[in-house]
Amino acid sequence: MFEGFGGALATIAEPHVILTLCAGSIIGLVFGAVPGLGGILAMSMLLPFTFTWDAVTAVYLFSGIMGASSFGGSISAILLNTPGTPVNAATCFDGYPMAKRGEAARALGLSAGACLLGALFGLVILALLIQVMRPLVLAFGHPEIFWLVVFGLVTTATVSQGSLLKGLIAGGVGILLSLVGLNEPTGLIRYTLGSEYLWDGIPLIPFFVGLFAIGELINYSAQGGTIARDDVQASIRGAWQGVLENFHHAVCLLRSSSIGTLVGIIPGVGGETANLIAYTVAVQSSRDPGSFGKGHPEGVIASEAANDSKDGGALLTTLSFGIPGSLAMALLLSIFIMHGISPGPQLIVEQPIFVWTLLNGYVVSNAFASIFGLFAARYLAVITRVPVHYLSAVIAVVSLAGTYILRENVWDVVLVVLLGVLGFGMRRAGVPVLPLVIGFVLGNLAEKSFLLTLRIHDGSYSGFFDSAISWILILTMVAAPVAKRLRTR
Amino acid sequence: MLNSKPLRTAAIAMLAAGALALAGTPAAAQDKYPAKPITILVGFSVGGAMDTAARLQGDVLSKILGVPVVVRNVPGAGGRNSVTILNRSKPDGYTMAAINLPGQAVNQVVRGMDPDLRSFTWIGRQVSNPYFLQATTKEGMDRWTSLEQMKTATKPIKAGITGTGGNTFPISVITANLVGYPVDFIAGFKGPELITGIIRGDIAITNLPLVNRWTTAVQSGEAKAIAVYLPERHPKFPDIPTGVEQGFPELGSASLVGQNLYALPPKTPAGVASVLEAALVKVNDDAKLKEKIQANGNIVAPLSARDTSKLIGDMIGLVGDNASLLEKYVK
Repeated sequence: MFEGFGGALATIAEPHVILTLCAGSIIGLVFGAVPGLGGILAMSMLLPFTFTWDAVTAVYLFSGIMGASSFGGSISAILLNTPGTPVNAATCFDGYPMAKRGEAARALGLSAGACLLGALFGLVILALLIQVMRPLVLAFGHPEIFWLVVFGLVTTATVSQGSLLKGLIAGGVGILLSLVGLNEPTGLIRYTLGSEYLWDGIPLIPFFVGLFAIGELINYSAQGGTIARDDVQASIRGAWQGVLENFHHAVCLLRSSSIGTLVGIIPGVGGETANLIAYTVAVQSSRDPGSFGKGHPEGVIASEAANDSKDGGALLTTLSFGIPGSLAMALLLSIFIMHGISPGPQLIVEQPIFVWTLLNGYVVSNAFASIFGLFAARYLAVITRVPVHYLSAVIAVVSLAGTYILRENVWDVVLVVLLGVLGFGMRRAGVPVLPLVIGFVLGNLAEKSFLLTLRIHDGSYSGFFDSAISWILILTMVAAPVAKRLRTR
Repeated sequence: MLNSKPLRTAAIAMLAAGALALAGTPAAAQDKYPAKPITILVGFSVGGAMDTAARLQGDVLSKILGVPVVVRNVPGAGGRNSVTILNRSKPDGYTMAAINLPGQAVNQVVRGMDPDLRSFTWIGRQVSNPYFLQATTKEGMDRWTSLEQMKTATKPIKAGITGTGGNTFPISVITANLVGYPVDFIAGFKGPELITGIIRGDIAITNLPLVNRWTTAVQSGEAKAIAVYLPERHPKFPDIPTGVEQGFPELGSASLVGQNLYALPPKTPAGVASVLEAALVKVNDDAKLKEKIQANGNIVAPLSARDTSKLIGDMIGLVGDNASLLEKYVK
């Protein structure tokens, strides 16, 4: 496995590679930070330009974009309560309250550190276990995915700040929203109001942009003033403190990175699931769950470490099976294939230099993004002192344009506005947003894995209890709240 | 200011000339086609196989036509959005779409949705993806080795499919019917889950496009390739036998090959369509592009507008012949 490492490392020192990586990282940061765009759009747009490039340079460009876009998404999540990409949704819950307290630089530092360390964790796992990981990947079938997702769903009660009833209602509404559209296992088309637009369900990006960005924008307009209510501590020292703080929360960092890597390994489960599960587990495991949602550093660490470590897991599936663990990986595979590199179990043996090229590029772009975050944090933090009526206009234009550009569908914009009103209403009524998000992201996945498990096992429920992993998840789900209650006594 | 009559007259004349010049621009532009950017609608998300091919082909097409060619992703409803948007686009040659078949034929024939695909102005082929049948080799499972053997199954064979929106659904149902083996379709898998499902033994068989990424289980020996639906063996995968050589000539039909075909809105002028048809032939003849797209296992073969229209008719006919079977899974 380590054979090609030296060769790949030599290529990274070439000036055109450094330039390509820097360009990829900057593009990733920008596309990640603008709500609605994201790294996949950037990669697709640039694909034809790399047509005549050599494979190594093309892989460096795309790994640069992939590595930096997640941190880019956390910038808008922290500063504007608007996740740049769906995988940054959970970062809003504590990153933004920190920004409101004047700690935006610290929150960006936390995110930068968690991104880099999470990515490194995922890649170390990948490098160490790639040749023996096939059994683990195969161990996660639909019953195991079902229990993992249920594990995330039952935490709705834990993360319902304030009223438990309101939290459960929000979670239920989230699940109902996730059921809109064509249900593939049954062939039924549900709650679409006869519209083909809703056939594929409520699209993820308009959902997040509406609920967070527009909901917050209406809130700004109603409240006025600036985001940061307290003095803004916008120094490089504050950001650096945030980076170092990751080490003070090493357990949370390692746990969230492990969750991210594991979710990344499972084909068909996306990054938007990883950050939410890691976040809810962080809340459940904390001695002070009540402080989450109010600017707890572990909220940012859990979300961002899981986000970036999941790429290591997804790469593992992509490289060891030759099947993409995510859409970004599917695109990467296309690039590999176009340059004559066949993915699959033999890739690591036959073309180790390309595997290392990809991993090196990913690490360097993550480092680049994190260093950028560190130095830019104090300038970015100033945004939180800008009067919100100026910010509202910018957020409205960027969010709505970003959403529209992605699919050029005016109904996406209408949906964004409707969900924005819902988000604002929920804030005003004191209904927590997190359970709604958890229900929306995990509800459909829970139903699908439930139905597929039943179909695969000829309608028998025994399939849910066949494997050791299922039992581990069930027991953890039951034991975690009990253990917590005992601990807090 | 313009109080002298000559000056006023001159100014009016200049304004009139300017207005005429401006008015003349579109007319001049219309004479020469194409004169502005062309949009390719793709009914799937960025990063998918169809999107990647459209972007690569669009780049070459742009150089041939001398105008920018922009890919517009309109994902949703298993690619159907591209059909509905194309149907209401102006027939001016500036909007074309890559449409997946026979998947879209199911919407028309089985779901009864508009428009009639035959009303589009078809101009050629983007790529074709032959499908192949693979079976699990997991211990303890029924392990199928040939189509003939599958006919002897005493209970329905568990077959995984992605959903009822894409090409996999009609191809899976129709080929099972043509061969005559009992089958129980389990829908709702994502593509990668079909591979892990085959390896784990969750499903006994599945049909997938014959491209590198979906043959990995076969390469590792965790699945067996039973048959490819082509008249002759695929040059890139010569070890996989065809259904035809196993005694099922219907499995060599071009209608059972997943096709991404290029179309223009209904009633597009023939002159405009012929410009694009000729350009597409050149695109598909581009050796370097061909090599890149075929590296994945796709087939890039130019198809005339007339042959493309005939293929559409054949596919709609085949789906119609099997409508009662397909209806069982489409609610």
